Amino acid sequence: MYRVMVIDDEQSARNLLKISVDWNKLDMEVVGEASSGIEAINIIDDVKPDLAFVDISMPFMNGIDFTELATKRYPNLVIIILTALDDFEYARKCIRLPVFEYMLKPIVREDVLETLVRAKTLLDEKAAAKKNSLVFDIDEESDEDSSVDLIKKYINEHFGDSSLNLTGVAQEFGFSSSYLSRKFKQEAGMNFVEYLSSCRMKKAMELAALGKKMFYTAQTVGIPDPNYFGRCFKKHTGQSYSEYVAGLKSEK
Amino acid sequence: MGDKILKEKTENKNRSRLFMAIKRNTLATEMGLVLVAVLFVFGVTFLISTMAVTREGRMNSEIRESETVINSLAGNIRGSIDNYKDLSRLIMLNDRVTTFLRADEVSVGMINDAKYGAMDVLNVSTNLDSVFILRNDGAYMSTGRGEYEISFSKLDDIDWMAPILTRRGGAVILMNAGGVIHRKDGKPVITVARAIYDIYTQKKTGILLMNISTKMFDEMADVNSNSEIAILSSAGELISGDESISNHFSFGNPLGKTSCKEYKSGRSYKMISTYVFDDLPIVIMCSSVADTNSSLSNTTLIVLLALLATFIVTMLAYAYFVNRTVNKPIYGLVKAMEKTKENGWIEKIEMDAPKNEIGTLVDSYNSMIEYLNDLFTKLIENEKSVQRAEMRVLHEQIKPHFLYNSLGTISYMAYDAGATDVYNALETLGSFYRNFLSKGDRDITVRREITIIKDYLALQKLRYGDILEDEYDIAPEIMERMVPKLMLQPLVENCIYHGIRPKGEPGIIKISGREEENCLVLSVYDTGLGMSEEAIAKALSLEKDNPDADKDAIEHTLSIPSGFGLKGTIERIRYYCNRDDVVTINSEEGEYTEIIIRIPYETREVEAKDVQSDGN
Repeated sequence: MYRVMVIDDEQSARNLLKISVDWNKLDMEVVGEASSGIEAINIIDDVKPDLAFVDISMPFMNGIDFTELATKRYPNLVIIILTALDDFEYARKCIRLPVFEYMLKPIVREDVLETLVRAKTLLDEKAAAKKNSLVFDIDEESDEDSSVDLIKKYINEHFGDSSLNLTGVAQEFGFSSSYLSRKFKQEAGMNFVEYLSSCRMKKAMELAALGKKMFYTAQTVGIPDPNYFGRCFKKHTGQSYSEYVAGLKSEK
Repeated sequence: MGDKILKEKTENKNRSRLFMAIKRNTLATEMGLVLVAVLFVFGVTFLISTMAVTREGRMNSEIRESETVINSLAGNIRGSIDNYKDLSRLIMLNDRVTTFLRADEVSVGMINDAKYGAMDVLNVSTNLDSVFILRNDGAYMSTGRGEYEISFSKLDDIDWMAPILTRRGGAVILMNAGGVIHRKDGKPVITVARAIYDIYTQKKTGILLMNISTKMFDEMADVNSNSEIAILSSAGELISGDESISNHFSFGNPLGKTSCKEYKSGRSYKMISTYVFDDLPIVIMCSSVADTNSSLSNTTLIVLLALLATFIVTMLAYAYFVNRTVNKPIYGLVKAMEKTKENGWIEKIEMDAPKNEIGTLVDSYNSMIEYLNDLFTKLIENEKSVQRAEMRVLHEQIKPHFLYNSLGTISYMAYDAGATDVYNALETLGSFYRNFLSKGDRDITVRREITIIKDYLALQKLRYGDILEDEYDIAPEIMERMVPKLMLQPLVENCIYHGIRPKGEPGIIKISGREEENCLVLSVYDTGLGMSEEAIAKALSLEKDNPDADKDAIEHTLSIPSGFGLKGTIERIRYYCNRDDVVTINSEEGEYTEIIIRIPYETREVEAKDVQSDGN
């Protein structure tokens, strides 16, 4: 079962794609969705997609930028651009990037199906190739221990970078992402995403205490998409950002 | 007959061709005319001056001639008169005459003696007519030939006598003895008059009048054959010679000199010279007929003619030279330019122009053409970029992604609400618009065009589902061939609105496509109303409808189905293929209509090249 991720700023567009394709029949499953490139970068290590539908015109990080980043960090990820923009300039950029297909909205089920069948063939080939290289993955595990502290320090210094995520850091330090994920959880007691998020939220609460506006805080802590930031903040504190700020004010 | 007509025709043709040539080659014509005019003017001037020179020469020679004639004649006359004077002296000195004069008393015998004495002298010359000798006492003797009238009353007149007496024995020449003696036959006589004085006493004894016949002049007047001569008395009376000349006599000519005057006689001019004797009562008039050949020397004439010939030859040579160096190259230039005009393209002239101003002209023209062509290219480029910009603006304005996104959202809403039909329809609509707009591309694949038609018909079937059925028969090998966008869709639209729907019965639209003899053949077939031959002819006519006709056509379409969009589409396809025979329409009224389009492959390749070069 291949994992599919849908990245689009429109809820209805994501939903439409989810319902208009018989995923089971294709041996696929939509396991995650993101409303912006920022959100996608943050959750992609958890979602671990094999295939991603990416819209181009999204706020804060558009589909092109996301694709550029993602294809560097996840070379096996199959990316299908799905956009309403029939713009030559975008198409040209996409040709430069390892994009599997450039599709235009509104979607036609027939076309989507045809593209997915081709993508599946590619994934099957890649899976067959990966089986052979899996042996080397295990050898990596004998590494020095102090690295997690270094990584924690690195995260604290760099969480303002919105493209920071597990795979990016793993590449930076020369580990495989799965190894880093395991090792990080082992030594830090929480997973990478939780740690990064807590760093960012700590900083966010500090900024909230100073009465900073949400968009500013979101920008500073590396989640420039205010919707996604809002969700993260609420998840961490149990309150929305504005409630939190109001609460702090009333305490005074 | 036929031959004659043919001949006339060719003659006319030749004439008109010549006329055309003259009309076309006006420069040469003008130069020719100028040349002819110059030669004419020069010729006339030459003739006039030659004539003037000739006349001058002739007059001079005539004057010389007549002076010679007159001088010799005058000499002759003087000589003769002197001779007669001598003769009169002989008579005066004759013994018998002296005796007659000396005698106190005159007897008949004395008179007869004197007569004989005078007669002896008279017989010396045949021209001596008569002699009269008057004594102081009034007695007289006369002898001679012919009859005379003597007016005796005048003899006593002192006015008559005075000039004779003043000479004191010298001879005086008088006409008709000063009016005293006249011949009865009217012929004039010249009289030598003397007063006679006695040798011893030196007293005047009488007067001698010796009359000379004018016959003496007749011989003289005949002497010169080249000139006509008249001898007149100082009173203008013709004595001898040509009367036609004496008619021109007038008084007041200077004495002892020759004066010349020209008179017109008939067509020619006559030079008449007049000489009035200062000592004789005689006038000589002479008209000389000059020898024309001698008036202007042959050498002069030859030299002049040679000059004229040289001038003409020089002019012709110059004309030939100008024609060769100026006219012909200019004519060639004009021809080359005309060729450019006929072609309708602005092209450079290729000709061998001489390396002078004309060569410069050709070079300048060519560089001007180059500049113009550059300018045109630039203009076309500008126009293209403006069009591109306009397309872009239009495209921006349409903002199709908004439409597509909205369609996506509504599709989801429909699906979510369980309206699968609506979702399907929206999907088709989205697909149709996606292909219909297709980024403003000019050419699309056959596959895409067919998709447009399928989507279009799917949507139309939602509206008129019960009467519409569509079939497709497209050969797989043509699927990726390029065709102008929306080439078939308007034809299909035409099928519905002017074919099937007005018929009111269920109909079939069939789209077929195949490859045939290096042509892409596409056909749109419908079982609709069909088209009348008139409507087919109108749709296929090459004439563009003028705006008024358009208006009519629109009104027409509203009432009778003729297919206004059809004509526009056909025009577009023709323009695309750059030929007129690409569309055919088969139809049977009330049964079917079939529109067949044949696109030759090579036109497409040319188009592709064009697009490529546009890019450059």
